[in-house]
Amino acid sequence: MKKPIICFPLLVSLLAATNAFSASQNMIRISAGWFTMGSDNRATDQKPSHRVYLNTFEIGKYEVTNQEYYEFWKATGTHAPENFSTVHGVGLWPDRALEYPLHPVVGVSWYDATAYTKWAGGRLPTEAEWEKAAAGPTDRLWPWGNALKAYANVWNGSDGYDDMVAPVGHYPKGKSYYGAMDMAGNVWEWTADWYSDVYYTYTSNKNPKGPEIGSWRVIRGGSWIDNINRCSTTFRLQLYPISRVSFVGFRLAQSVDSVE
Amino acid sequence: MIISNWNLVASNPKTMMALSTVKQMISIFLFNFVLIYSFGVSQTNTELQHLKYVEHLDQGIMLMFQGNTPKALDELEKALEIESNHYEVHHYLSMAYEEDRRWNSVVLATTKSLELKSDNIEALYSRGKALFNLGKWEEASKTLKKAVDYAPKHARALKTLGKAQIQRRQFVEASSTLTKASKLNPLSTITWYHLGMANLNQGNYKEAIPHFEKSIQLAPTFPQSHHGLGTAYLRIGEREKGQVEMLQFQQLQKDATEHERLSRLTQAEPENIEALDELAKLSMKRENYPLAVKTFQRCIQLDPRNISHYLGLSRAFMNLGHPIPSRDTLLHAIKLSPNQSILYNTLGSAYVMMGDISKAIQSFQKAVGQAPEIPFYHLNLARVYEKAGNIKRANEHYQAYESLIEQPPQ
Repeated sequence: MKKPIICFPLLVSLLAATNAFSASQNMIRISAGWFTMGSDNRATDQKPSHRVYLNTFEIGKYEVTNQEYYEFWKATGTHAPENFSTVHGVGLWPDRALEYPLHPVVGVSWYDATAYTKWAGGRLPTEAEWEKAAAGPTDRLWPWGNALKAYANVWNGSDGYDDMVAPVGHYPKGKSYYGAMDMAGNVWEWTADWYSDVYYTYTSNKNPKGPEIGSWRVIRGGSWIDNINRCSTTFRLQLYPISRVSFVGFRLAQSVDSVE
Repeated sequence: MIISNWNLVASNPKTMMALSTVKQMISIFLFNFVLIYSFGVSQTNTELQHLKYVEHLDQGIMLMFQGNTPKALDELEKALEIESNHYEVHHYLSMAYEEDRRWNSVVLATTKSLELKSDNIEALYSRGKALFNLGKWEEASKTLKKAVDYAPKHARALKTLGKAQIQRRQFVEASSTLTKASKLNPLSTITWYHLGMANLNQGNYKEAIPHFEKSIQLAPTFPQSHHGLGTAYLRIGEREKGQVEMLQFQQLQKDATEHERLSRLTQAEPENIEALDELAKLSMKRENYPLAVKTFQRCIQLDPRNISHYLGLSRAFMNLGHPIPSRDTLLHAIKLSPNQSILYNTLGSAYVMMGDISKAIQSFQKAVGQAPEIPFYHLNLARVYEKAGNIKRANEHYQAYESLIEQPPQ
């Protein structure tokens, strides 16, 4: 593990001063109910669209930030994110936690993300939870609706963040029906599920948890390297869970204990 | 002076002992310094090398995501030159090779990936598919069976295994494998076609028919399904139906041959605009929309003022489910030729696909305004008004549509 090379007290005090996006304060509760998952008009792995019931759950309003991940890394001394010296707006860890505290953490594997969520008292969202939080009850094409608007950090977005990741919550007009931010663009987000291109043909319609086995984990939402089509609420992509890349982060989810 | 002092020191045994200890300490210090320094340097080098590896890999995956396979290959190969002990990189590389149909390279890369992680389902599938494409049916079957053993619901592995079993004339096994694949992915034309073939080869002609029909339903221009269906009908004595399918097969084959001819011609003469235009249109007819996009784009490069190329490109994009580039293409064409009603009508369809009903209404209105005599412009406008909840205006345009189609052609 790479040893921290910056002054801890300074970093901690600076990070503490910018706690506007702390995970505990920013969980959105999404009530139990049905929604439509997938699409019949788009890529094959999104077919068929189908109704899915989910229990009540909570999901992070924002992607997990460098600042939040830094606390975890400091407390556990493990799961250091990968370094990217040439990627604008990312840089080296832990320096980047100081320089970009409100940027989503990237360069984390699925295992790193899972470890963080456990440490934070939650878990990664399932693919279904992620899609419901993004598309809302009216099957929005993008989190903000169906109109093509630059309400997200996408490739060639002419939004000031053309070739780099943006701070979380930078696109308030792009929020989802439930109020989740950056569910389109900025960084791809790990979900809990294994990827299968035909999963929707045999999935359970109640609290689906993904295939039992696989090689890839599902990532959702698109990122600053993608055109807006790939940032739709139904678009699915896959990545090896050990991969640490500069355009994939995650957000926190939590189950809500209740009799339903 | 120094020599005389040294002689003085050397003559004193106590001083000599002390000096020896100091010398020893200096030696140890120097040795340790050199050791620590060189270790530090090598550690820094290792870290720098790893950083380079990470960045090549990151770029490689990014470029793959963006569809830039040649550059992705370059980055992934550079990553592997630095660190070659990561199973996922070998497989990402094999996926890039697969895009270029470099099957031997896929086999090599997946073999390395599997040496590092033998239960990597996706690498097993990629390897099996590559072996199949190299005509190594038996080896392909073995590899794909492993993938299916690990992941019994891997539809792509099941499909390719079924195809390999057909090649090995294991028709009963192929039927069973492809039936499983078709249940997991009922939208795969190829799976239904091969299931039909597995039944046909077992003499189960009646059972083969619904499979070929399903394949045709999903991809009406796939010639082989018509041939399979025709054969099945002829074998059970349904001569008329069999002949219809065989005629259809012949027509589609003719298109395929023409397609082949035009492909060769445009390769030999990359600036032959007539051939490119024909190839693009034929690709649309054969529902090969990716090729249609590529060819219309080439036509536009060569003949940028011809509106029909833009119209074709926009339709190809829409058929691929990409309304945004379709819209952009049409907006560009409208700038070049603002009085073509068909451009506004197609733009309206792109907006409908994007879910932007108000802009769709504006576009269809413009089309109707420019050519009110064309019935289906009114029909499109009526439909979007209806979708927007404006029933009064919807009814007006439904009526206009009906009155226009009732009129005898001028």
